[in-house]
Amino acid sequence: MRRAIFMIMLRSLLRDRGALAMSFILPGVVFAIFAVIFSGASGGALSVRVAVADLRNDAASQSFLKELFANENVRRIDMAEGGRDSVVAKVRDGASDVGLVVRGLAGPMSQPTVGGLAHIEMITDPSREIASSMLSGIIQQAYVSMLPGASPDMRFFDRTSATPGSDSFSAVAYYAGAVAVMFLLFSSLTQGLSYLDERENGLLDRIASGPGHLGIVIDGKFIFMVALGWVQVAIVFLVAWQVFGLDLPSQIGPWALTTLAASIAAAGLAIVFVTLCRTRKQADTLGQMLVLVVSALGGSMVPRFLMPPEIQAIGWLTPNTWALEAYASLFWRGDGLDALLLPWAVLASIGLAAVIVARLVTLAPRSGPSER
Amino acid sequence: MRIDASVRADSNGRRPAGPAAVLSVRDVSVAIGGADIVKNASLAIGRGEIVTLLGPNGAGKSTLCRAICGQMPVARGNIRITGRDPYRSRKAKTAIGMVPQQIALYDRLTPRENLVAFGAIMGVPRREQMSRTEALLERVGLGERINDPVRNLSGGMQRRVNIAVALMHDPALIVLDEPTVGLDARSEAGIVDLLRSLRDDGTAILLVTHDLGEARQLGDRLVIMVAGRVRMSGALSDLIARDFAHIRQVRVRNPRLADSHGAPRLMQALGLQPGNDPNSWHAVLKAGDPALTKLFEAMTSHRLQADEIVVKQPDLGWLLEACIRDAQENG
Repeated sequence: MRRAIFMIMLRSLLRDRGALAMSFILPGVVFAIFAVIFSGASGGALSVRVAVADLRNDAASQSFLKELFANENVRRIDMAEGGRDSVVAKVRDGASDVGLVVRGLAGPMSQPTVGGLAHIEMITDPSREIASSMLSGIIQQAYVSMLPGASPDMRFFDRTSATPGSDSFSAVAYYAGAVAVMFLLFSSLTQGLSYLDERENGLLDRIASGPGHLGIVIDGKFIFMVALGWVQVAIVFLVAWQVFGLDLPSQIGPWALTTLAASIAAAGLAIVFVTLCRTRKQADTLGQMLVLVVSALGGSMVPRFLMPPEIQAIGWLTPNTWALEAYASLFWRGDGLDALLLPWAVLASIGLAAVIVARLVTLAPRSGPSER
Repeated sequence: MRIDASVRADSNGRRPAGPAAVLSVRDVSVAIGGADIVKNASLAIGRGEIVTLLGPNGAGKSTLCRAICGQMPVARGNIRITGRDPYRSRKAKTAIGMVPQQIALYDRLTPRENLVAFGAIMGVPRREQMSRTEALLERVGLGERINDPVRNLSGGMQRRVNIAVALMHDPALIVLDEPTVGLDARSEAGIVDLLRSLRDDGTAILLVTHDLGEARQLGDRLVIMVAGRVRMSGALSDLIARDFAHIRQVRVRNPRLADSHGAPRLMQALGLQPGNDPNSWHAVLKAGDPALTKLFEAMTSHRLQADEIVVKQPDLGWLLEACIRDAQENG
């Protein structure tokens, strides 16, 4: 009898192409994607972008920088003009993960400090602490290489935040945004699955045979999902504010609009996804996989700067990246509204375009589920 | 047996399409994936009339219903509900109330909430939604359970709510797909009474069913579909009286002879054939056929005994079987 049950399960699986693909193809595909994202398996090692201003600009500083950038894990972005301010700006706007200024001090670099001042100033972004930690180690290594026999000396460099005052809650702000957007996608998917329940139990047929059409179902669900998503993200940020001290009140207006745009994108993508799926089971399994992959690519699991450059570029195709960029602009870069307009436009456009496609899919004539 | 041409398709028993017909289906073909699932079907339903749509699985009944409800376009012919095309006209759709075979309700909502929600979706003015809801729930006998979630109601109650929802916008035509499937006799009787009362109020009803008893009980007219075509249409008594009045179905159950074991040989000699039940013998004879006289003579001359000897006019099941045979033989 056990054999019979086993054979029933096996035959059912072999005859269900969708389940077959999910069972044997999807795990490998998802693993490969995650491996590329998290281990830099695309061929490029983890690379920290370092904006450099060499104010000293002599043989010693050039030797030090040569030693530093001999390390394959750091990538140099030279600030030929603008000096320190350019480096700070580059780190603030995310174009560089960390900044490095070689101060123009008169004393030899073999002495860690001159008049109590370190030779090297590291400009950090609190949301990319890992990059700063990595660079700290590489600076020590370069210092020792430059001066054979010297011991690592922490006084050789000091650290300055590119966004003063944001250090204490920047990690919280990052994770609030990251978790909220991933949760938003999961939540929208769950709500969207009700569309397939309704299709399977005849509710949609009933509505379609009345004066209303299925477009109203899509619209109604979309509006609800946007509202629910907004409230769910609000709860995450309220906890971040009340428990972890995130300065939400000062950014409440732009935050509300950013969250609205992110909710529109998540709801739209979820609704178009379920309308394209044939069964709830298919949508449920595939949807969860997709949310995980999109969230990983978009930086909801680990910061994108830790990923290979190719994967970082793909991240711009996900709503997570745009939403996280907007939250980053709000909470630690302190950018103006100008910096938010593009993320808002992209997120809202993704969501609205997805709803239009969902409506077209839904309103297209389809054959009945069963014929008698 | 070949079905008389006069009752093939829909030439008789059909109300003339026009202002009196709530639903008019004329020579409609519906295609799915390039293949005609419904072929040249015609039928009509007037106010206060129940038409039952019968047929084996795969006959095209559901596809025809979907086209009638405006969910699919027709490839040829036309469908009119109160004179309008349901696929293109919103007004036509306001005249349709569809009751799917499944319990198509929001099961976490109460019957009252379901009715109000569907009333809004169907365009019932807000001020009328509550009064209609309460009147309908009272009518379907759920006045005391209106605030229980649907999932907590019995199957029969859920079926009644399923029908009530379709009535919220006061449609001229209700299309029901097996509304009593899975119900016990008492619950089924409740649904049958409800449908009769709706008919008496002037609603046109198209009832899709596999339940021959229900079709016989409720159908003012029957439409039998097989392999995508309407094979017969009309009132059951008319169909039988007009074309099958001379036919008699004969059934002898468990025939026995007092003094020998030759009952099967005698049955065969009388022209009867064994049925699916080996103790049951059947024949279709013309009225006045000598075989019928011989059967009754055998009862005395051979002292034939049986648990049951039935001679009757063809019933609905026989008509359905005749249509299926006709489809197999003639396409």
